[in-house]
Amino acid sequence: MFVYLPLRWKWVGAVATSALALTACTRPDEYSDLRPDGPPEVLTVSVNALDTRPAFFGVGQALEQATYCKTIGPNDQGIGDPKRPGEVNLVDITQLVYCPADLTMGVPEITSAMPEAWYVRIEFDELLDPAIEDLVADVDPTGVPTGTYTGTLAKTQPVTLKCESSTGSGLVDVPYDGYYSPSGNLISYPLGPSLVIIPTDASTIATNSECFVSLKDKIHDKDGNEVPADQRGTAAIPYRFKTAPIQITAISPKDSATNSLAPAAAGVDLTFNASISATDFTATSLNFTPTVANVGASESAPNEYFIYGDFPAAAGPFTFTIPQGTVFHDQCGHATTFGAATAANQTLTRFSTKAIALTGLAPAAEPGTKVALTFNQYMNDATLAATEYTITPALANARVEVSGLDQTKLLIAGDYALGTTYTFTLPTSATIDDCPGAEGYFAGDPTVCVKSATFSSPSEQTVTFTTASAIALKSVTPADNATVTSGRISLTFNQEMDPATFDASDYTITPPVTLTARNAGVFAYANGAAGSYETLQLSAAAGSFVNGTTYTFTLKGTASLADKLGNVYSPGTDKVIHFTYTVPAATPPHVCL
Amino acid sequence: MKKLSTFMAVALAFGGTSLIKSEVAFAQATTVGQLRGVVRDTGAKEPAVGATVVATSPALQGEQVVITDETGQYFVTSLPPGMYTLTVYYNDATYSRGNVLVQVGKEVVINISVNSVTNAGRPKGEVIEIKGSAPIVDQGSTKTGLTLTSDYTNNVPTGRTFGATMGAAAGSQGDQYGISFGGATSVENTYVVEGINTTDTAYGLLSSNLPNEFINETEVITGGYNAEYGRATGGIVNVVTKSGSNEFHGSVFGTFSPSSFTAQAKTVQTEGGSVDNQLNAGNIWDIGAEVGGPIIKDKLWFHVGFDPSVVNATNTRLVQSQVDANQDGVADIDPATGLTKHELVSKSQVDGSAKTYYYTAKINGAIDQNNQFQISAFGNPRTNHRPYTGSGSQNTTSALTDDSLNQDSGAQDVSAKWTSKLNGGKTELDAVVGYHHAYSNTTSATDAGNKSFVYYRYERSLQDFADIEGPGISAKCTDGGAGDLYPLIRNCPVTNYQESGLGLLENRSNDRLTGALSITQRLKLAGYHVFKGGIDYEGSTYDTTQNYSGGIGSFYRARSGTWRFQNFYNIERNLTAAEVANPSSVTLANDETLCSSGRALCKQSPTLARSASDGSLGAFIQDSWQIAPNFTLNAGIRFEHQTAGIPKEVQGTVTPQNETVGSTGFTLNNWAPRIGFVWDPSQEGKAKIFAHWGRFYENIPMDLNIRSLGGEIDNIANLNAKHLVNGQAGYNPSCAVDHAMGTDVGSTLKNCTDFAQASIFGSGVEYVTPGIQGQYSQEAIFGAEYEVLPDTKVGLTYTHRTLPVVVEDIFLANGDYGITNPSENFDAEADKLSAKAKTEQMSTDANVVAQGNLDASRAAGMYRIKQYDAPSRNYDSLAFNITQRPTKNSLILASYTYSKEQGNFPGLFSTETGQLDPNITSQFDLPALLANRYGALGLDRPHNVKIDGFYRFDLKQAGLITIGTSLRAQSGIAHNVLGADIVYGPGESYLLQRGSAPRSPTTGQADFHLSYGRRLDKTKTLEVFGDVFNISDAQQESATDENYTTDSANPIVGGDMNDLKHVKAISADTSTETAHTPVLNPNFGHTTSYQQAPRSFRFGVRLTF
Repeated sequence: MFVYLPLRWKWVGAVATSALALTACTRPDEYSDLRPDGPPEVLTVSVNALDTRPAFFGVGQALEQATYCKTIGPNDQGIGDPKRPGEVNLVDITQLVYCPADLTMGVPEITSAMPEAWYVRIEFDELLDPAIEDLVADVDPTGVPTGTYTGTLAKTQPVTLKCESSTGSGLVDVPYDGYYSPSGNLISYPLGPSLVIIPTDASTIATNSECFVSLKDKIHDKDGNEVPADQRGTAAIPYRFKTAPIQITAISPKDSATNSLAPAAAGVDLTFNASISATDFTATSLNFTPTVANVGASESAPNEYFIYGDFPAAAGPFTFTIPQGTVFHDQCGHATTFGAATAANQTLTRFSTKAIALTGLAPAAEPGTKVALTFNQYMNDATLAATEYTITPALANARVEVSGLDQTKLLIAGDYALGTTYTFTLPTSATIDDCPGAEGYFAGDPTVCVKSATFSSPSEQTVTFTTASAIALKSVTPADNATVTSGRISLTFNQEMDPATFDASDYTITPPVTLTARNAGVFAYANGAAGSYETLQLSAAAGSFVNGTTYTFTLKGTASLADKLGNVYSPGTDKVIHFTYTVPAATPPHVCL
Repeated sequence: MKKLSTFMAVALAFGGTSLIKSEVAFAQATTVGQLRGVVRDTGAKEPAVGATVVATSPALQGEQVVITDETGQYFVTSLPPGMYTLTVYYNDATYSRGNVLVQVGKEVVINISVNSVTNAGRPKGEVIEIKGSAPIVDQGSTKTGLTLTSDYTNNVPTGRTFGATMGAAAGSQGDQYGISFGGATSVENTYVVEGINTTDTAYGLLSSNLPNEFINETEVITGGYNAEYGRATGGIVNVVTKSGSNEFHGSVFGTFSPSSFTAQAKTVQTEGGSVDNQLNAGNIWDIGAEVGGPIIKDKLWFHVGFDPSVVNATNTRLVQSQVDANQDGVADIDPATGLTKHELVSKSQVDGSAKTYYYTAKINGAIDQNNQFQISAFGNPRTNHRPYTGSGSQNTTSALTDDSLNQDSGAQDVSAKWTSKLNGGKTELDAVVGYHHAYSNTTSATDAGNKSFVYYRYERSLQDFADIEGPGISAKCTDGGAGDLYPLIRNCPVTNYQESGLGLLENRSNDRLTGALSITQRLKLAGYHVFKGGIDYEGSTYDTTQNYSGGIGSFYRARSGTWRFQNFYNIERNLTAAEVANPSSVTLANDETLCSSGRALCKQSPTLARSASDGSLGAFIQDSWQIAPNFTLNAGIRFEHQTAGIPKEVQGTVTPQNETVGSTGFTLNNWAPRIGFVWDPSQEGKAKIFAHWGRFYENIPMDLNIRSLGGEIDNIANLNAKHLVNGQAGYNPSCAVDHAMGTDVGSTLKNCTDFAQASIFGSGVEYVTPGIQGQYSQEAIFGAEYEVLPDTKVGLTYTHRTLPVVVEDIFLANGDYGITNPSENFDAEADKLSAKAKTEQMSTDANVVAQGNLDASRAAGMYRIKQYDAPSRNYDSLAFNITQRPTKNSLILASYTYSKEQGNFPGLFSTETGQLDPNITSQFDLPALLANRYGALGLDRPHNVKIDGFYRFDLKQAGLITIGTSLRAQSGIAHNVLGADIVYGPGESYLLQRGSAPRSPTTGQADFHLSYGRRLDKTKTLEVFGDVFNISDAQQESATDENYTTDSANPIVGGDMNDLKHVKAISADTSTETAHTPVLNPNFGHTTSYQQAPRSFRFGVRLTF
């Protein structure tokens, strides 16, 4: 009611303001403020490099580190000038000496920039004209704007970025994009506005290569002042850094005399800071003491390799080293020769293996209604004889299988009836041999299973379960409206299905494609077991799916499928999915500048 | 302008022609007032030396007798508040002066003229009546504020308790936790009831509260007070309950606010959301009685009261869908409101009820005229059954409104006071002891207490939670496929949806033992002095048990699919030196982590139980020196010593830093000088010009003892940070969980092994920097008052307050927080510690070397303290008052205050995030959090108008009609542009300078009171009354959503809106900056709360006898 009093407020306020103006405090200059007077000055240039601090958090991760810190100038306040980053607090609440507190001191060049993830941050002491950056609207997969934007320097190209060529042709221009951050990264606190320069493909620059960045005259502050010419990365004061040589950034397990691993998980996981040539892994470059049979390396993730072998149970300690003199090559062919193996540089680690143990007994572990025995070691399914377990009521066609590719999990397969309660028992002293070399088992070489130990059940293990009372469709892939590169449709049921009962009367697909069904889990086991799984894979002859075409698949409500025992499944209502098929893009050859 | 004029006219009409006030102030004991004056013989034209002055009152046991001195001066001290009669015996004549109002903490000056010439020879026993009014302009004190009595609370529409009436003081305003005075946060106030400090020991909240019918007087002191008052950097609220008398008096009363007469609360519509809550008052009533009388006349009186009070409320949860009628992919806007058009999907209601049982009991006794005592007990135990509407700190949209919390809370107090007068009344001894017990126990009434707190910190479709919401929402909330009413928009977006659990629940008790002794000595020496000195001690405790619901901490899911987990950790053991050197050698279970910067192994704990004690010793000496009849100088100094105790659970333990924990966290020795003067230029007692300067120290609440000194460790970890999917090495289905039908996400996440440490707050007992100072404010007051009419004065007061030194915790050294004075120079202490460290580091004993390394690290941190932004809170105000002392027919309290409050530190809680952690808020935790924090603070409301008053029409036989009003208008607050800090969460990153967003509009409210009374006989009056609050049903914005984004982003130092478009988000997964702008909060800038409660009516009846 008594709210809108603008006129009265104004004159009363004016009088009162005048009175208060006599004593009211003006805004103080805070340490957290920028320094907007004068031209924009470059406080630091930093690159994304390996965090090698002996810190509690973040070991093995990348961290922005200064490769240039501005030394004292006319605007600076002397020792400890808070406008230049000194010791800063990181997000993980550790600290980092970013630039020395003594303004007369710069910092040494960073020579450990992350080879395939490096970028450059140029931090200023005041806000820039934001026109240096364009903002491009982000869109979701369907093309609808998300409301967010991505900053880009693609048009303005405010710097020149040059690196050593891997082909020996001197410095070459490195294509880049990036963005302008008016608030800067916490790592460069005080929060200096910064330009972040990101190479279009950092991996085009070889490991251990020198790079330079220099600023063009198009960088202005909000008053139009340019960066002083002598602060643009000149020959006298170059903004330079070097990509790191090939290094191991993480090793698992980390070296400890007390490491004790499950025998099936025994091995060493190595993470490199760059893509390396897998051919560099040779028998001499991977060294276990005592010797382990069938040592090899497999890429478990980009730049991450798992060093495997036939590790016996209850053995060790094993010492892994990458011997001195081992040479690794990056994608551009640059070689790095490793020095003496040490735990500190993550080229040495130790572990032992545990005894065989049953770690799980599940009634309905995937796939389907099968009893699953999980061990901490690869096991030889052939040694789990029918006399070593019981299942009641009797299971027709009972047999032992391995779970897909996982030889640690043995399945009691058979013709499980619907809606039936079974009891499985593994009695005390039941025995099963292990299979230390199971990594190579599927190559079809049964001689790999040279046991190192035999598991003997320490106590009776029992599990009772009831199978599903009816067949149900659990899922369909691809998801509706998905874009796929595989012309395959999967129907997953809660029961093992008979693919022979699936035919053209059960479905429609437009545009028309002829589909055939098979069980997804069928593998050519060396021991001759034939898998039969609850997922039907519906696939077409090569070339049947057309690139860029959207298909509509309908599993008819009248479809009639059956499991191996002849139980019929009929959906009742149509199940419809739409998906678009695209031909997988060919991986382009890697290019090095 | 026209409306204001109308409003003023109405206000003046209620007040009639006699404007008054009751602001006679003088520093004295806190439960009594006093009288002084000069008796002059106008016939002889000289002071009436040796006159006998006798003070009597229904409020006084017996009588007080004094003799005038050689200048005719008399003093009567330690008078319970009430209406007094002074009888003067001089030269065989008897004079009587009635209607002398004595108020708590005030000194009334009554000068009496007798005439030994004209009254000579009068018949013995004849009493000569002297009429006149007492001066309203206090010539002895510089205190600012007001005193409220039953004249105010019975006739002006106001709240039912003294806690609800304090806002009548000029310039005061409500904040999130109470009433703020002079720009200080409300938790900086001190609440004194019956002479003992009843302020909450944990957070500084109002703890003991009583209904107005039990209150004799409430004195609200907003500034300018002398050294006898302390432990506050805000206001002091001094409450005295009613006492008995030689006659039985009391009242029976009841009030009822029917819900059917209460307007609907406006629904706060959340843009970009589909769930809104509306809290409506239900029936509110209380019925009570109080009575007092003699046990032994003039010797022993009693007063008792009991008032059960019930407050019902209904929480309505509205689920609404958005509309896209034109199918353009943008939700339609309602042209009437400018907000997104909504269609009701479902509506549910949950009732809550709070029952408070107020009581009081008091005995007053007089051994003789000079020795009196008082014993008092009072309390407000409360049971509260209320709906759970989400965690306030997270601003969640809860699915749990049908779940309820049970809360038992309240306070119970007992106090005893003794007063002795010696040396003919020139010396007075006062002693007070008391015990304050407060408690609050919160439990879940449902299964929600057994589940972890789980929510989703990004926008989702409510349809995702159909299993919680019920299938009824599917008709309008289905997104995608058949049944999607508006395929191009998300029909029912919901952000911060809370799935389960209640989060942190606390059971606590907060007690305080108080003892105080003071001596007052009057002395004539170059004028008149009233010296007062005293000493007091407060022993406080805070016992707490905090539990996360479900036995484990809270989880929230980020847009990327990463879960963030927060829980308590306890130090399981300290690491060995070898383990510290090689932390990777430590085998950790899934519920364990390294903590304390890699010096200890911590284990998850669902509970934090701590018990701490605190000691505070105060001493003061002050003098009120009446140098001349029209000039008084007040000066004093106060010493306060606070000992912050370490919780007993950690005392004697060895910290990860290898230090044995003692019993004391820190001690503070605070010296607070005060000085002021009062000058009467009129020399007639009708005017005064006054000034006061003082320093006021905070008594640090004990939340700090529990959280910082109690070894609380809060762990924040990222779960599912690797986003592994089925088939990838290390995949754990317990990590890659999202809400699905019937799942218990919290239980599943407990087994997640993709567990990446994000932050650990706390590392044991926090280090307190040597040389730390107490937090204090400094205040300068200049004012003038003038009595324009009898009983009426106008005043103008300028107040300047600063907060030069604060106590806060900061990130001090590697991984450790410390308690210090941010921005102060600790170089000298750092030098000492550094020198000690160097010596230690040269030792051959590894433990000594380790201590040396620790000391060196702390010293390095101490050198950096001065580089924090200086905390500042600069408050300047100009207040204009019109005050009429209450008469039997009218009262007016009117004020206009213009103020300005700038700075970077609002006080003991963060006004933006609501974080109430006195002296350990996150505001100074990291230097990066300080950027852009300077600006208009959260309590900066430039204009503040208050007009309260009543007028009574005495229709004789036809009865009494009373009309009262309370009118309020105040500016809105300046708003901010906030983002989330990657570590500290939403609202902690000031993207632009504080106060950059537009202010909320000015708000106002008008309340009216109408009563009709009948005198049943000489002592009994029956009154029925009705109040209407917020008659225009104005519900105007008081706060807006200041979160520009809930994504993490750093402040743009000195930036503007043009820069804001370029701010970049920080990834929740990697904690590193991205090239993308953050997702904007669609509710940014929209109203989140309304200033006024909806229009309501309250009816009541009161029988007074």
